[in-house]
Amino acid sequence: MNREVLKRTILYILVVIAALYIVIPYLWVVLVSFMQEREATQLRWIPREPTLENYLMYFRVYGDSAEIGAATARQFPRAILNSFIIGGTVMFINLFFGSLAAYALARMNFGGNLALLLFYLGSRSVPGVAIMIPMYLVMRSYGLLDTHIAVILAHVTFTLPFTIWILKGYFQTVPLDLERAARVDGCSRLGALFRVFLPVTTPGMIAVGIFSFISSWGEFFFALLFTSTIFSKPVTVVASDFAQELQIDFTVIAAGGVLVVLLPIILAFIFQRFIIHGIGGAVTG
Amino acid sequence: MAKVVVEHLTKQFGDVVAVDDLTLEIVDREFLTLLGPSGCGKTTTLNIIAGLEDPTSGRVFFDDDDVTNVPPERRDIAMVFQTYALYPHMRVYDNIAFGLRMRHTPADEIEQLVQDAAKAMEIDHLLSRKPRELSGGQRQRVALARAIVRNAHVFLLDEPLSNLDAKLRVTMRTELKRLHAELEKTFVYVTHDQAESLIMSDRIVVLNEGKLQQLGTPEEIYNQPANAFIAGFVGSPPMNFFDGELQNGGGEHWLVKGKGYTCEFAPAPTRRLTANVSANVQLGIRPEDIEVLPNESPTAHATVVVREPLGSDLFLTLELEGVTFKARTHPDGRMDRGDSVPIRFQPTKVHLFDKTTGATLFESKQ
Repeated sequence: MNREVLKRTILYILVVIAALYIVIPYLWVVLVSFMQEREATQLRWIPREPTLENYLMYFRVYGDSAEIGAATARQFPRAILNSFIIGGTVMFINLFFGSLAAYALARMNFGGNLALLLFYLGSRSVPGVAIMIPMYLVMRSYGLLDTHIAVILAHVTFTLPFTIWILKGYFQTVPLDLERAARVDGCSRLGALFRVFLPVTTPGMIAVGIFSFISSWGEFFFALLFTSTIFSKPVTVVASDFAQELQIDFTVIAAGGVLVVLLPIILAFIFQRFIIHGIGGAVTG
Repeated sequence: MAKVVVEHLTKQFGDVVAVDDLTLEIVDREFLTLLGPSGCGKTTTLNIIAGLEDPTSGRVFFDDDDVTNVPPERRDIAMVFQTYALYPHMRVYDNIAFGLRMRHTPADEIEQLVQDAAKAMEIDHLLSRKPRELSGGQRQRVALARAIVRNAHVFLLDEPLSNLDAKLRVTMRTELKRLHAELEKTFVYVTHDQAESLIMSDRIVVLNEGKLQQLGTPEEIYNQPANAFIAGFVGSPPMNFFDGELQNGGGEHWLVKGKGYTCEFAPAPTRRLTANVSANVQLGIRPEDIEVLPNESPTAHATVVVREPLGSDLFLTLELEGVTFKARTHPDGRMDRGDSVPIRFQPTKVHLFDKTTGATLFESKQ
């Protein structure tokens, strides 16, 4: 009994350490975002005179140009919109093509389906840097540089294989008899897919949808490569522009950081039940 | 009318032949059971009748219509699955109504039909529940209600009772039989449970390794098995087998001599022996056809190995020259473990099978 308690205590301590290791940098960013510049440089944890000034920087259309980092900050709302457009489209493409591909791989026996699956997996193992130049050249020759489409295509390239793998595993846990029952009840093959199969697999679909959205939202490398103006720059790229400002106001950057992670975190909280069920279901099922 | 005819049906999965040149005619309003061990092709056959799988070759007819290429949604069938396959995201009501909605039945009619089906299956108090809130027996009833509500002419049932506990299974057997009598539809039933098939069917098709072994009434399957496989598969406990040599004792009088026994018998008047003298045979005898402590001259003396009283009967596991077998006898038999007891194979109940092919050596005179 005592051994059991000891084991549990040690386990919890380790879990807390791991959680702190991940959370502390974010926590610090959040706290700093409410501080005055002066306080932040003193490496203090709790703001003495909390302020929203840092956040307001991002939403003042005609900000005081003398303010440090103001030029970059003013681009934030538009950049968040760009990120949203890119992430949303990436998510939609992942769900639409991913579910169709995964359904075919999970349910139909056709020549080369294993080869296809391995190809998808293999494509994930290619480092982005290796195909950076070819991709850039392709985008340039099709006139896609500095458009949302370029970033969307790049992000889909990296998220779709993952989506297909996860969904295929998840789809295989759905009993075949469900669709057969639907067929006997009068559905065509597509009817059974839309009326029975997809509603049953909603948790898995939501999970991969959120995953693809968040991966696109946080991606920096290809976004930086393909975008050059505020008309296509996502928020990760704009955030990095702070580095080019003459002076960096720490607290403003922190507020920007909070704004960037806010949406994914809200999404994750809302759908956490589905994310855990979806991913867990796919792995254990 | 709904006669189902399957002609030269073959289904291959890669190199595996699941169904091998199967031809059968299922009569209108018949309760026909496809019986066989797992992997014998019975579910595949059912799926092909349903249109859920395409045959590699062969044709399927409903009455005189060739439906081989007709998709399941356009065949006049209802189906109950082993896993029930209730739609987990729908309430019981919507599960039952789904098939009607797909066929554009008017809403008020749906309401009435669903209520009637639910009442018939005694689940009308569960209509607003989700499937996951139901017990196994209740799910089974929902699955049946979903099948009967559509008023299809052919009912396909794929081991519908195998996921129920023993007691419920017995109740549902009766229920299904009653349902068949009331609905007057053609039922095709798949099971690996030989007792279930004997109890419920008008006729039984025994399949093994995709091939038709025998088609007949439960009595025929039980009393005149076409080969040693069927004899060993149908009946509980199964038939006992002994190796022996066939000899003629003069006229219609025959003998089988094996290790430790000599069995005299006369084929039943309706049956004729097809084998020659001195053929190597397998003698088959059901446990209930072995008399223990007989009044007449015994076939052999066997040693009692295990004694299993079952209330109404007493099962004895016996040993004869290294062969163990079972006998069913009267519950107040006094014999005990280690006793040597005289036994007698009832001469009219003896089965003979070819030692190599397993085929019966009796020919029915019909």
